Amino acid sequence: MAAIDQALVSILLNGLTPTGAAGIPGTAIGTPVGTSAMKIRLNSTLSTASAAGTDIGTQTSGYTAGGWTSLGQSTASASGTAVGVPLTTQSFVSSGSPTAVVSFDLTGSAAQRGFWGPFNGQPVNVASGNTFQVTGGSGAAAGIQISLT
Amino acid sequence: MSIPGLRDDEPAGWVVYDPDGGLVAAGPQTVIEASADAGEET
Repeated sequence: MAAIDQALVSILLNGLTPTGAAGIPGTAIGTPVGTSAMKIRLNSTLSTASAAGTDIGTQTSGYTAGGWTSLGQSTASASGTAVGVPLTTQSFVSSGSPTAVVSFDLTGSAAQRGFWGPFNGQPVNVASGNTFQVTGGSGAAAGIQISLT
Repeated sequence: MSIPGLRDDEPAGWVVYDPDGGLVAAGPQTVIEASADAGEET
């Protein structure tokens, strides 16, 4: 299943092929998503390969428009293993608007898109006052598993 | 923790709780297997 922003696909390809001046590797991988802590953006509509879904916006507590922060340092991929995010469990108390969580985008601190996907079982209805939580953990224990095939 | 709708050996990806901490719903992990086709199914 495709689940990576098309712009990021090109960055990865360009960073690994001689697309830079005089045949050097192209854009250095690392800069596209910045150097500050990443976020998980939650959306009330489905993200696509071209665009993020609609941010659920600031909630009663636990979520500010733009995404969850302080995700923690995920266990690095080795020999092609998946990366689990978040390391630290994330949650928010719903304001009731919107009433459902559909998809997420893993972004840079300035909203640069990377991986995205629909939550398993979406739409996840979260009534006002209820808490939505994504399981944190190391590696395979985390609620979102990301791999590149 | 045993969660309705999930196998015991299946980790929860997301969980919804009511204000009293009662379990409302839960779902399995979201597994993203990204590929460079970027959505172009062949």
